[in-house]
Amino acid sequence: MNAILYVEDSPLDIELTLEAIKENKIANPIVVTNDGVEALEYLRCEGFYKDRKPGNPILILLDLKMPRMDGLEFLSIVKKDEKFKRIPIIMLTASREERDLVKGYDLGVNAYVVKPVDFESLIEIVKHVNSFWISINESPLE
Amino acid sequence: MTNEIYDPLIGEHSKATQETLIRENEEKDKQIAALISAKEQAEAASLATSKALNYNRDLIEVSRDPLVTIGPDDIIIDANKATENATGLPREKLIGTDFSAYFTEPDKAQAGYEKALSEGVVFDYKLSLKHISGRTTPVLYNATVYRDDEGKVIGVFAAARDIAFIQNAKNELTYLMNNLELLVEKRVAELVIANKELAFQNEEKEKRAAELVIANKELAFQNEEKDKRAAELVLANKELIFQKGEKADRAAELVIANKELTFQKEKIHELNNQLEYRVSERTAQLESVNKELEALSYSISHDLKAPLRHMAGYVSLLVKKYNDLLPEEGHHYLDMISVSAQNMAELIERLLQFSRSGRIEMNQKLLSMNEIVAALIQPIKEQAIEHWIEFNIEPMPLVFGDPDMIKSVWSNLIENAVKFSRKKDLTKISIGAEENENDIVYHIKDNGAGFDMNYTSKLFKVFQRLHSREDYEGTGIGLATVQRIIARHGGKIWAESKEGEDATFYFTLIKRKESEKTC
Repeated sequence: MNAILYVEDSPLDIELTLEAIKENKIANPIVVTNDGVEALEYLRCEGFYKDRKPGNPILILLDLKMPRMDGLEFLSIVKKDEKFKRIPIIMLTASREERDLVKGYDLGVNAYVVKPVDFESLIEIVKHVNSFWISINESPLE
Repeated sequence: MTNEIYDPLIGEHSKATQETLIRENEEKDKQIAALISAKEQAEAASLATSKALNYNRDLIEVSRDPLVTIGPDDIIIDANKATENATGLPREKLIGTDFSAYFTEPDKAQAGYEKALSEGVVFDYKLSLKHISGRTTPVLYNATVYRDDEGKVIGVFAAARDIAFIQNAKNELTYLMNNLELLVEKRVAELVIANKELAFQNEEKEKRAAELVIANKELAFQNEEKDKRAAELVLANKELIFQKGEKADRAAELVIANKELTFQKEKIHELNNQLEYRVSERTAQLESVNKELEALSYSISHDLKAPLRHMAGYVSLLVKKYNDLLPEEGHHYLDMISVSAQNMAELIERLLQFSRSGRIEMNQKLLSMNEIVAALIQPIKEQAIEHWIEFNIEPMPLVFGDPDMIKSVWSNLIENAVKFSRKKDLTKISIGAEENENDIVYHIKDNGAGFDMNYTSKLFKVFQRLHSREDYEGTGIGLATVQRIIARHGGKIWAESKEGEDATFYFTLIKRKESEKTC
């Protein structure tokens, strides 16, 4: 079963999101990386991930504000890469007024989710993400 | 008529025609008199011929008329020179021959002869003499018997009178008479025409006279007008002279004014330069402030919201996992933390919206206010199951605006109307518009709590509230955002209210001409 790649630097957000994923009983393994550099290493099976099980993740959940390499830079690299450009990516933003939203779509992001303040809402959102992007959505055959 | 001079004013034309006609008539009379005289002469000549027959034998030979004496047995006894001429035969040949053989109608000649014998005389007996050449001569025969001394008839003396010239004269006369008749008829007809022409020309003359009277009046009027114009011209000339003087004065003033203008232009130029410098300075300052503001709002959205999210998230986890371990008061505290975090998150979101409404680039389109309003009230109607809300939406004209921003305006105003009239038994909200020459005035009226008109100025300021948060929840940012959006569209917003009864919010949007439309 393909993994879900979760790119996020805030440990508290990571913990809350993982709780919400657990609540939804999602069976796919979750791989968490803390910035764009580490996420690229995972995709390319480099560095810490050089011995990982081969295969692309089924979905990437991407935070925007991160150290070293932020979400938009990561996005522009992945969407230009023949091997990774078809992986669906969901952008996680703090606000609906986010100025980077449009830039994200210009770079080829597939969806965006506003991180909710309310935890119950987070659970609901993860449920929807799972049902559409993991269960319904199918990547084209290679 | 061609040699006549025609003067339409006195009608000389017709007069001349009349005179010509009269003169021609006189000519005709003379001709007729001449013809009559010719006829009389002819008759006189004829008479003379008859008389000549009675002349004696001596005169016979000199007579121009052919004369013969015929015996009782029709034989010519004697003939004169004229008879020789008329027949073309010498006397010796004529004597002893039958006389009737020399006429074109011998039987008629014979009958005439016998008539003379029986009656003693024959007058003007018409016959034609034959010449040996074939030519004939019309003659009138006059014959008488002559007797011997005993009174016994011994022959006939006949004289032929050449009447060819009489015949010719008669023919001529007849021709002339006929011609005369024709001429008279023709002249009469011409006279009739001439008279008609005369009558017509008389009429024309009268008309011309009437026209002349009118023309004279017109002339008199025009003369008067001319006099008036002359008087006006005199006045105008005086005015012109006066204005020339004025012009000179003005020219002098203009020279002074131009100098003043040049001076002021230089001054304005200097001021403009200063102004430009200041504007560019201020613009730079503003740009820098805007950048700071943007950085601040970015920071707020990420750095302020994240801890809130975490607080609320962990409170939820705490409640979920350790619900049983907490006393009831503990639950209450956790609820309060959650609600406060939610409120703060809402506040931050609205502040960002407000900040964004001033910065974001506008994208104006032709909008249907009715569509926008209908989309916004639909979920409100669906949710308001316990509390009945009566919406009255009038048709509104299309207008240009940024779709997201205008939607935000209506959203805020409708939310406010619903919120502040919630405590009424029946909420009534009416929405409509009025079109003016340059703009459209939209309004939304509710029958809610309203507000004290003394504090109207505070309505549209950030964080200003006219009601307590306990009575009506809210951030105090919504109307400030609405005002900023309307201002950016070049419109105005204001409100009227009777406290406790109703409140009406008005805003205007500019009507744009077709040519200013963008797609």
